[in-house]
Amino acid sequence: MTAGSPPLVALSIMAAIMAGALWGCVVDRSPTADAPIPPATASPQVVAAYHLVEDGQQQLALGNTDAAIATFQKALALAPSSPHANLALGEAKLRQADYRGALVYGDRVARLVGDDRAWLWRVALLRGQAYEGVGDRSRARAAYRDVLSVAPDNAEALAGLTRLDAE
Amino acid sequence: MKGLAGSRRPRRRRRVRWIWWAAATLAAGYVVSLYVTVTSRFEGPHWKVPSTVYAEPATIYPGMDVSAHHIHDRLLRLGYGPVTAAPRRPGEFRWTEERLELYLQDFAYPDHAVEGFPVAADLRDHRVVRLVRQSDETPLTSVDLEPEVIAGLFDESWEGRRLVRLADVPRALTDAVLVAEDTRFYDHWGIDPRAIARALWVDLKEGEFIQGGSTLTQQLVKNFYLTQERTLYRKITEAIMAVMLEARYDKPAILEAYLNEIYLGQRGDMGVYGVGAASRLYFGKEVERLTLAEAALLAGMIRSPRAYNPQTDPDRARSARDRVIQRMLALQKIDADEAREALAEAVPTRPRARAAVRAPYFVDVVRDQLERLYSRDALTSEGLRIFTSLDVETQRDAEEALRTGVAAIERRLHKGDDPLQGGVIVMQPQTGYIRALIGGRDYAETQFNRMTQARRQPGSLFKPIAYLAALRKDGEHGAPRYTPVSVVQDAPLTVMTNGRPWTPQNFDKLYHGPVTLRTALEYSFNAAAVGVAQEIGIDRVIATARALGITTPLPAVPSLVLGTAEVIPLELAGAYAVLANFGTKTEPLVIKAVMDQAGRVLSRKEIAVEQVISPEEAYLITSLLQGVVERGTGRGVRALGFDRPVAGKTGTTSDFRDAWFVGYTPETLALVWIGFDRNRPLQLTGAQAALPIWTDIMRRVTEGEPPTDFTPPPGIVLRQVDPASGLLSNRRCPDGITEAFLAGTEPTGWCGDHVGPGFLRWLRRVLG
Repeated sequence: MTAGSPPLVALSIMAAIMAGALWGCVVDRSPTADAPIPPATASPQVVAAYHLVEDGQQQLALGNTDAAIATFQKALALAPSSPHANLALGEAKLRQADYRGALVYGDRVARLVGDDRAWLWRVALLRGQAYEGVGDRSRARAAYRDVLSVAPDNAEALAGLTRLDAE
Repeated sequence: MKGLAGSRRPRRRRRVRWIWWAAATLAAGYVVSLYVTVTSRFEGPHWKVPSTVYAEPATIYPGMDVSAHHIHDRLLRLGYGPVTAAPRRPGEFRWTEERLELYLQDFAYPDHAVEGFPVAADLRDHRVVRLVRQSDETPLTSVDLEPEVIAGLFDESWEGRRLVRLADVPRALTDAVLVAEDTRFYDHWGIDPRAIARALWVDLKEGEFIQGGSTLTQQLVKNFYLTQERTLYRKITEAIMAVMLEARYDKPAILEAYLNEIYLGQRGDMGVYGVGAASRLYFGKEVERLTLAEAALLAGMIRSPRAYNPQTDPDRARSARDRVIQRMLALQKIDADEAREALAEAVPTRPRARAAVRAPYFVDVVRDQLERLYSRDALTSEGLRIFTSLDVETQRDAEEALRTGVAAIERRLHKGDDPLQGGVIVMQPQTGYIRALIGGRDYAETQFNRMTQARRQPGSLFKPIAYLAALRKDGEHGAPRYTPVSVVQDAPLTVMTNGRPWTPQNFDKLYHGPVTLRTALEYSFNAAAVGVAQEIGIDRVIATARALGITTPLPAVPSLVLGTAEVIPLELAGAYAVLANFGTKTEPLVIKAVMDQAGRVLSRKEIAVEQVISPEEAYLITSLLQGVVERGTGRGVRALGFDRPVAGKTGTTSDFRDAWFVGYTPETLALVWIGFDRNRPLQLTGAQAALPIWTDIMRRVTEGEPPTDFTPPPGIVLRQVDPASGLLSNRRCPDGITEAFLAGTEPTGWCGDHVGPGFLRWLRRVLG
């Protein structure tokens, strides 16, 4: 034991608690679970991908994570421009603590949905959690604020900001 | 004399005794060797079950164009048979103008098993307008057709087999088999003297071998351990081994082995062995779900799978089946009602499955990757099931386009010893899935994969990498050195390479003076590209190529930018996929999952993503490459009628040795290479040789798909600019084009007082 150990241990415990809380947020609620249905103008592939993502969410709810990811990937292969498939895979990456991967999918969704308000908070939340995961606190904070600007009561964003402020 | 005779007798007796001992020892040795043979094979793995390689399943969903996706062909290849009434069994379909009804076959996917069920799709103009489960009209959002088998990984024997456990085999099938082959199976001890006597009597009467009298155990011994020859020695050996087998193992173990061993027909080159594989082949379902009539049909086929094959002679198959059913009734294995119902059931008349699409070069890549994880023996004997990314229709489209395209080129060339070669890769940038792969014109001729094993000079395909290096920011906050409208000099330039002066020339032997970077790339000007690379530094170009996934050696010489360093075509396709995918690298992926015989998932490959360049920088290059197709060296794509949003680049190497075209829509990327293995000059450019094939492929594979455009990412601003000067266009230069810029790098000046119309003068001269 060195003199520097106790703070290190404390920091490790704190980091573990933070990571646990972040993971808990992701697991508790999935923004794709109630994502907007595809518009009438959406291509048949995008609509089919939306339904596949719904199936994947059910597999996820049953704890079958591998099968759920395979279903999300199938949805993506069927319709690479499906925001639902990309968001679902982004969330899956968050669960796997692959935060940079989550950001890739977040960026894709952002490109695909443009300034659709119904999607903005979902994308921002994914990004906020991913930035928090990679330790980019300022971007995480900005993303959580983006969520709150559209959905002021969003519990995940509020919790995220609280976590960041506590650090 | 007596004394002599008396001394001889003991000697003779001793000799006889010795002979007896020798004979007894030999017999004992023979019996022991038979016993070792019987037990060693029966207790080890019984069979070598080949691994099966599957393509991607086709998904049917409302809105799908079933014609464009060749669903009819897919059904026939999967062994579905057309029927005139509503499909009642797995593997049947009825197709009318307004409706497709099909009874899906059973299939175990990596994540779930599907029991075949009837599905109906209402059609309008070949599109699915409604999809329902036919039994209760429940709407469905999508269904999968089972994946097609594209290869089996065999050793020297081509035996297709799906192992079943006795517990999973329906009683009707075991009863039918025993009734057909060995009614006293549970009463004898390997050989059945009564059956032998009966057979002998018949054979003696007829004067030849007609009836066998073999028990099921003897049949198993014959197939398992012995040859098919009909000699007394073999018959005796068979009988001894059958008795040994019965003495050593219980009846259920022997019956299970028999059900997995029997030969039940052919599927192409592959023999179909065991009731598991036969159930799939003839009825499209797992053995557990066989009906009594189907079980009796299989049992009736055992005697002669060729003669009683329902696919080729349904009448004979039916009479064999009916005999089994009648005998089951006579032996009280079934009651009269069951027999009546089974006899009334039609014999399935599914046609033989159409020849599968083979993708041998793709399968070689799959095999190579598998051999890093599993031994060769495991691959050919453990019955692994390998799920891949290949789309059989895309593969077929690519093969057809390459075949006709290369044949057309050959008509223009002088014949030589070295046949013209070609290769194609089709992939999906967002997932990295390889949808089609052709490594050469004729796999039978040469198995060398020119897409994954060859190293070729990419020529001008390398230029976008150099321009990407020029357009990239210096770090996160630095400014890029160039924008698409930066004016670069397409002028004579001499640089030292390997200690010698070198002056790059353009294809048209002209220099075009000051041009925008966009124009330089669209028209693939060599001098301008070398100048830009010199300006930014070759190391920066190499670093960008590495980021895009090029791993082959890239010497830091000025000519690198013109594509003089050899690359692997698959890596080149991967690099362009990064551009198509807004800077995200996805590992090219062929194997999605591997399952074992028991249905466990052994490995699974997830899509791996990594942002290697920014989405904005990637988009800039895509935008430039769109210009290549609209106005530049790739405009042949438009001339050939392909009108979707597309970005692409031609490539031709020095002395016309390689002709390339790479291009992508937002969702599909294809690379085409044409050339000779021995580097003979082709005398054709990429635009002349590879581009028409690429266009043909993309026209086919995107048919029926809604067109999508490249959406600029948030950090991009679009401005209307004058193409010659790169300044904002206004009334004085109204022929502006929409140009993309990284936010903050867009021009602020207006055109009108610009100088440098050199290229426009050249263009007017060229266009007359």
